[in-house]
Amino acid sequence: MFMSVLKSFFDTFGNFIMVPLMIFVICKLFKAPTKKAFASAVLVGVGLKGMAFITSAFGAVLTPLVQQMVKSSGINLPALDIGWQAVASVAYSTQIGIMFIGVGLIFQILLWLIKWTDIFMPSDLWNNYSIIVWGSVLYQLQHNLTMAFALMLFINMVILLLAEVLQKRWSTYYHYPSCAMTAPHHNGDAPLYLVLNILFSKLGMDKIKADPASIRKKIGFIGEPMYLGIIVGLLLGIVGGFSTLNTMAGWGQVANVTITCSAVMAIFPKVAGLFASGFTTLTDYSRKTMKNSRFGKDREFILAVNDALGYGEPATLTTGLLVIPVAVILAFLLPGNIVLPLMVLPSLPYMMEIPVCLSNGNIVKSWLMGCIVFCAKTAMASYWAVTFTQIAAATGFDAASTALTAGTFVIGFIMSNCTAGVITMAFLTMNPIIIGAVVAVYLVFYVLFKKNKTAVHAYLEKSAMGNAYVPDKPEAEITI
Amino acid sequence: MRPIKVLSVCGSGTVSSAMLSSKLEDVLAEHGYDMESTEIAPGGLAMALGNGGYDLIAYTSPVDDSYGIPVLNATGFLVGINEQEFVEELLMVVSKLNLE
Repeated sequence: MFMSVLKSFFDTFGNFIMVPLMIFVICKLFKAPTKKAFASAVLVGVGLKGMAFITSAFGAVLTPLVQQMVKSSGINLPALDIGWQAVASVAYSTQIGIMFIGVGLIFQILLWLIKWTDIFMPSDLWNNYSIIVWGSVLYQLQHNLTMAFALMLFINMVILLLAEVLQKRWSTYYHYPSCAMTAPHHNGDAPLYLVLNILFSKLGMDKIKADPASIRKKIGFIGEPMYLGIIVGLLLGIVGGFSTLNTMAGWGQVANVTITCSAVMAIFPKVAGLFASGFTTLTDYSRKTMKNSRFGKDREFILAVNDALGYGEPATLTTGLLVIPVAVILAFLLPGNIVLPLMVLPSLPYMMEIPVCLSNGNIVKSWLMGCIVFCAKTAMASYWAVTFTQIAAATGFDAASTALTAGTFVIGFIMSNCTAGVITMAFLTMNPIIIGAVVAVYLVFYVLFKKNKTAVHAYLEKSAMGNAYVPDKPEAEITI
Repeated sequence: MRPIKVLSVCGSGTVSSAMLSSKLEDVLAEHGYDMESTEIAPGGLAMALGNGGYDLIAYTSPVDDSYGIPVLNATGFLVGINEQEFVEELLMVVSKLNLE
């Protein structure tokens, strides 16, 4: 009954009204002033609409080109990477997403209150879209709301466990005491990095040294999205329009694609910023309200923080920039890959935070780990391209509908999260034994970690810092 | 009095920088200042500053170079650690600006 009312309400007003409304209600729930709650709601609505405007313009230019490239050159990369900003706007626009804004927040507070984890995840609630996409996948394919929520809550718990394993290492390396980087799309790849890091240490890679600062000065310009757009746009235009390069019109198309890519890369973040700033009040007040409540007293606060906090660190940025050309080349070479990386490229430094902190800033080792994991990520993203495009089209995302008509796809690397992807595959079987086994594996790791937390943290510190590691440094006093 | 022009820096000039701008705007408004901000990624700093007119940089992603205007680490302010300290630092920097 409730669901059908909600559904008809949703169908009438659509996501551009429903998402802001949800934000407003939750802001008020956490005692934000009405003026601020209203401003947040408007920002979110305006940001969503803005994203819809740009992506449909972008899709109209690029979809025919991708289609032409696949047809004429035989390069089979029909899934265009539209980036995390667009994935976020799709995720928050799904019915699952609108509900999870509230459910996820309450669940994360609850996990912290019952001391299942010490990490207060709502302080980076923006990144919840990265959990929502998986619930949306399950709902799209199985139409089972309960299972979709079970999957999202379970992925959330797994991500928190991984974030807690890495917490001390990340916070020591990036100098943010009592903080944890909880972005699900990075923590989901952590198991791969943890294994590779140990393996490469055994191979003696810890001895290699390279100075990130001097390399970055030489290649820093490729990290500027506008120029990156020019380079990739030019490449895409030439490869896609190869058969018409002997004509004036052919070069006209190349020029158009080049400047479109550049424009999208420069404009996307601005519009997505409007959308994201609508989450500021909610983030702030959920933390303040909890801190000042009777539950918050004397309770350890490990704040979840955004991955942006590590982005500009020299080794992280340099490693990410060095992965950019490799990522483009790999996309064309890897068998079975159908994803054409574009918007992910300037975001690659974010993905390097885990390997960089695990290797204590060893950029050669991190780069190698990053390239290997990227292969796994393209496979994962390729796997989900069709489903994600259907989800995006169903939420009224024009670029996705255009793509589906043309026989191409849209995808973002948020869907390349290895752990969440595998868990979703398990849940999609709807087989209680398989799902039970996955949950059991989590519980075993959870218990083992909780019992050996200090030892695990000390091991990661020691393996990263070698002889420079001094155990049990007292953490700086902080006030919130 | 003219508005203070602030460059907010985060990884891709999207989420954290936008959140930072809106928090800065609130705090400055409380103390009677107007603010205009541009959200930007570290890679775009040099270009934005080339266009000139900015009074200060506030960042959540480390910014290493010196640009000749005050640079404030706003990470704690954004996530809610030692907020008051940052606000005091901000107000001190702002009080030294020529806003006529």
